[in-house]
Amino acid sequence: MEEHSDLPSRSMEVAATALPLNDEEYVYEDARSEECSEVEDADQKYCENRLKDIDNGDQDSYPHKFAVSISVSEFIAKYKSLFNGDHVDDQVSVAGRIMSKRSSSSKLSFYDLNDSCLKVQVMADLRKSELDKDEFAKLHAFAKRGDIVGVTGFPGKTKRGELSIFPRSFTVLSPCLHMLPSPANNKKQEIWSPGHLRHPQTYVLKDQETRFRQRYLDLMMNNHEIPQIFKTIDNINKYIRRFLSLLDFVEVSTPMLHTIPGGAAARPFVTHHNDLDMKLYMRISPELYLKQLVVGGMDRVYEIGKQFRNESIDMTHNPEFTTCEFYMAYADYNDLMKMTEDLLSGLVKELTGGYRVKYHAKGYDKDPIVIDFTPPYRRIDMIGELEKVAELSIPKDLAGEEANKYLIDACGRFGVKCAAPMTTARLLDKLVGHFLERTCVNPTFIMNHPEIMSPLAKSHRSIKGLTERFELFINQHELCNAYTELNDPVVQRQRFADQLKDRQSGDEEAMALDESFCTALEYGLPPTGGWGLGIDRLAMLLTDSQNIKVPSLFFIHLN
Amino acid sequence: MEALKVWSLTASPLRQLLRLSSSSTAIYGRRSHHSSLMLRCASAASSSSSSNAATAETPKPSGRNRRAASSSNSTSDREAIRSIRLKKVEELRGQGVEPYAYKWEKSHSANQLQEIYKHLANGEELNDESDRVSIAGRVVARRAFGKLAFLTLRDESGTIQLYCEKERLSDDQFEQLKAFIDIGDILGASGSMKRTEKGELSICVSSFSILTKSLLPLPDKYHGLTDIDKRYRQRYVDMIANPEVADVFRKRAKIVSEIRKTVESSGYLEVETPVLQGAAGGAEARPFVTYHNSLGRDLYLRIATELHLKRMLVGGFEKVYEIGRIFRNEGLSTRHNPEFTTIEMYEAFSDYQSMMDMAELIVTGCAMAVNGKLTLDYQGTEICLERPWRRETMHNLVKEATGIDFSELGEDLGKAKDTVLVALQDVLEHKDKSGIGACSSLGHLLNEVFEVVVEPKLVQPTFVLDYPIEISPLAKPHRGNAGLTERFELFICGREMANAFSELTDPVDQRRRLEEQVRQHNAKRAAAAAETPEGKAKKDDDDDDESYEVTLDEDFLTALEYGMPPASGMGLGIDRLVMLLTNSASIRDVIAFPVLKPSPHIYASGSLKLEDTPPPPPPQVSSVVDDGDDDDQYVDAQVEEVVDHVDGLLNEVREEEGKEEDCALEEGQSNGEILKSSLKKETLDSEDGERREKKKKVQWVDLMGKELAEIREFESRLVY
Repeated sequence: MEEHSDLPSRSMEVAATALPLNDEEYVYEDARSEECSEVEDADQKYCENRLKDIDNGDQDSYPHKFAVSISVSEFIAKYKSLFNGDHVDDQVSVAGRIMSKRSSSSKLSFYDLNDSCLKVQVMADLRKSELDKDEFAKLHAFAKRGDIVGVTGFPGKTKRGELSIFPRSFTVLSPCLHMLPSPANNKKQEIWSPGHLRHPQTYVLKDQETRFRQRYLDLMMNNHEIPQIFKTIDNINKYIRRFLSLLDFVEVSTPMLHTIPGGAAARPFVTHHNDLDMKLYMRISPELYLKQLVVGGMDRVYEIGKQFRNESIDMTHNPEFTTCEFYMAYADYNDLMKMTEDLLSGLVKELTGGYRVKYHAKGYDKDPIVIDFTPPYRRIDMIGELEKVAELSIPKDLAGEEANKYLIDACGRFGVKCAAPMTTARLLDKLVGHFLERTCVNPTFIMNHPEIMSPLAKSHRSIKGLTERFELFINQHELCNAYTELNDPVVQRQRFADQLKDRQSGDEEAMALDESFCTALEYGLPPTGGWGLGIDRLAMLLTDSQNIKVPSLFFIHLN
Repeated sequence: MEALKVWSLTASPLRQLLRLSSSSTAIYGRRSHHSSLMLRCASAASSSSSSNAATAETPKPSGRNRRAASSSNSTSDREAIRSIRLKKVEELRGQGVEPYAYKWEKSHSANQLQEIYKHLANGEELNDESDRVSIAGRVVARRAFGKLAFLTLRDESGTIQLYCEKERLSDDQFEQLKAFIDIGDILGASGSMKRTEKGELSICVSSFSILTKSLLPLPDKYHGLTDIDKRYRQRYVDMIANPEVADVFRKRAKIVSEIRKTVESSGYLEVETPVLQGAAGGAEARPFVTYHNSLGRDLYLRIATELHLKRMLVGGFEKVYEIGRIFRNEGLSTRHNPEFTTIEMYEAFSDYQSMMDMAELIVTGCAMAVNGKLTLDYQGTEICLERPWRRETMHNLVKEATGIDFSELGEDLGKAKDTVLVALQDVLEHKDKSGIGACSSLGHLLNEVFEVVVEPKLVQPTFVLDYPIEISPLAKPHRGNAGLTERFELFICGREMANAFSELTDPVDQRRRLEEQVRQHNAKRAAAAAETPEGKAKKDDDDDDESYEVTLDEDFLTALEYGMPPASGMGLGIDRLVMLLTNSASIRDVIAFPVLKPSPHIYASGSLKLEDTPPPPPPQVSSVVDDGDDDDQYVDAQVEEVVDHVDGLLNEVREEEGKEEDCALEEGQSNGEILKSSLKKETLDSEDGERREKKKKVQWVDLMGKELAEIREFESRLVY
């Protein structure tokens, strides 16, 4: 990180200090890796045997279709009230994966059929089957744990009270060629729901590398929690879309391939378009394009989409991540703070049923914290609060030498480290991280950033040198960043120039970038409030995840 | 266009006020020859001869005669306007007025007002407190007289007239209005509602505020933007000049939201799969390559979402979909943009038959949502989307169109080719013939004939069923016909809209097919390299379609080995659907910021070129009836200023452009956007030398990275 440390890396700092590196599953890592090669050999043999069985089988091992008449959850809901030993004559067809198999004889086998996180027992009894004895025995010798099967039969409860399907026909739809990880325990697991704590110690598949690399196994084996995480993310996106569309926002898509990377300070991914023989950059932010649409007359636009930053991967940083940005003409940052409160509190209420979210902020082996999303949220004035908490008296002219010296001195006194270049903006950033952000566990707005830290934000209407900007911090991490947009092209040019002065960069592309954006501003951007939210980070809070990998389905493999 | 309506109306008491000097050009005065000079320079000097405005823009003489002036003058005009307006900004600040306001509370949109007050009678005014309204938008027309001014304000929803009377405005606001407001400025205004004698609904302004001062003139109404590129490069200018441009984006939003609604109500879960991948699979297309600095390795931008979504089915989700961006490193055309949006959806336990129903459901749902009906006009062709749509096998369609029955052709590829060439000798062009010659199997041959002969004829929605196995490496073999797969493509207007199959779930078969794909790809690369040993000699051509690597996605194959349920999957191109439903000729009309060829003048601050064509001929001049209307008045050159040029239509320009691009870009075009996976239309001739060179180009990233680390102009919206 440090080689491009002049980017506002505040949140990364926090990540390093606030979170001990006990990733959720490292604590519970199982010992399988030691026996790895042994396991692999066994698995390979298993695979070969199954392939042989498939070749020898006379039925189609990969049928085209299976007509499901009822899902497992519907089945349970419909028939759970049967009495023990009863059965009904309904014909049902259910499909799913066999998560366990118990054979009591060649005439009787029991299976647990899973559909997502719910399961139902299949009691395959020769007497109820359409098959003859040999066929039946052969079929059930072939069916293995992990296979996807379709079962048609009638529902009933065993004498012991287990809700079951008694199959007339039983079809392997897709055999599993590998051994599934064996269940550590057979206890029935509570199904997780958002806002509650997760329990990785109960996972069948614990090895983190396998979980992230073969996410389908994670979903399959740890199915009382993992599938719910992704349903939660879908629900977060749905809620945001609904919230914004009720306010007449239009969802738009702006390019992910940029000819010039803009709108944020980050290292971009670079690629090359062959036909045009042209360099392209993966977007680091959609901001400049969205503002152009507002210039073009679309007063309320938003985009939910991926951004890409060519940075190292850690607990809170993934090279691709999802954000929601919206721009609202004629609104200012005060409106946006209210909207942020409404959106987040409404979202948390809808997903979790309340405003208070439990979260393992320090790892699964430590006590969880409670994050309270009840509005309104605390608002702290960045400079004022910093002066108060740290007993500072920062010179008013923040752009001047004096302020810079003062802050270098202050950082030294408090032992706050700031790597070169020690610009005033970076020094302030570190001090705010040290004194203010760590106090922000419940949602807190840190507001009114100095101009030198916010080149795209409009100057404060009454306080000189500051901007109308806020960041929302939760659990010491930045979730939102918003401001009244700077729309004066002259001032915008000046801010860019100031930035460049700081960096002594004469890059032509940088100049061009400023120019094209400023030209758009010259056509007139209405007074506009702009807002960005990191959806992955919000998802982490609501799914009790400390690692950004958890709520992303697939992760770049490090092989 | 309101202007016309307004201007067709006749005189008023204002007549005296305005001291109209001549009545001969009264009606349609603004279209008269006399004022057309004014109009054409209007963009350059929107409030030109405002004599009582201290800072009025005074156009240079050349500006008055834009027709004669060469376009190079427009740059200096523009600069002059810019500096005049900058001066206005300063002066406003000097008077304590901030020309970049912080906020405006608007009570209504223009359209709402038109709706609410549509029954207001001519001449009627509402003075009730509850009828006080406030509105905000861009000034698109401006007429100012002695003590009266009319502004037309446009917001997202439409336009409304501002009726600004000196007496009603506080203090010196009227003078401010006359002196400082230009076309293009964003204004907030509040007041009461009135309909003028001539029937124009207006806000009788009691106060207003300049919200954003614009510095640059908007393009000329009658001539518009001639530089097609600029329409896309400065999309916001296009949108200001042509409100219907933004309508396409609004419809696009509606379509996407309708798709989500349809699939969600069928129980689908939306997931996000990665854009950056270790290997680009799921289709055959040239991927974009990038480099991750801290991992120290190449990554590919996804060319399909297929293989990751299928892993979700393995993981136990039964219905998943993703609406997302796909990237293909291919040429540009009216139908191809390097990034485009698809929906891919997968449903466990079903087959391709059920996906046909889903495709019908989605497309008809979207058509109803945006057009309210199932018939539509696409570029002059009427399309009927009434269900059910025709479902026919590829074999039958080819037989129907050519008389060739592929099921009776036998196994001999050479003979089959001869049969085809003889049967179709009158139809085929030279390049088609060589395409047929290059086919490596009967399946490829069938597909080639289909593409050349049948595809363009599939105008009404048609599902083409049962593709040959050779070109469908991810589809399950047909349960009834060996050599075919359970796959369909949906064609509308001769264009592929969707591609779907019963998914191949057998890991052994899948591995075999992907290995075959890799083998064929490599063979083609090798052959192409051998054919053109001179390598770089043909540097400029773009026939190096095979010069990228195709690798096996082992992780995907392993996932299949864990067992994927029988499933059907479909990919549907959202950009093409939007094109169809919004009657857009080019993909660039449905993508807000399309990728464009590099242009030396992209960021030049030069003005928008104004076309050098003569203005439209003056309409017939009728005699004036000065009946004393109070506002909607003809104004001749003596009166202060008349401008309305923003409603300009760029239609002629657009048509031209469409044609132009079609010929320029379709040539040598590869298949481009293929939805879900497919292998059709392989173009030949790769050049190994060039390939290597190009690869080098994408690997200089480290150097670039450093370079870029210096570019830090922008504070990030999200500090990550």
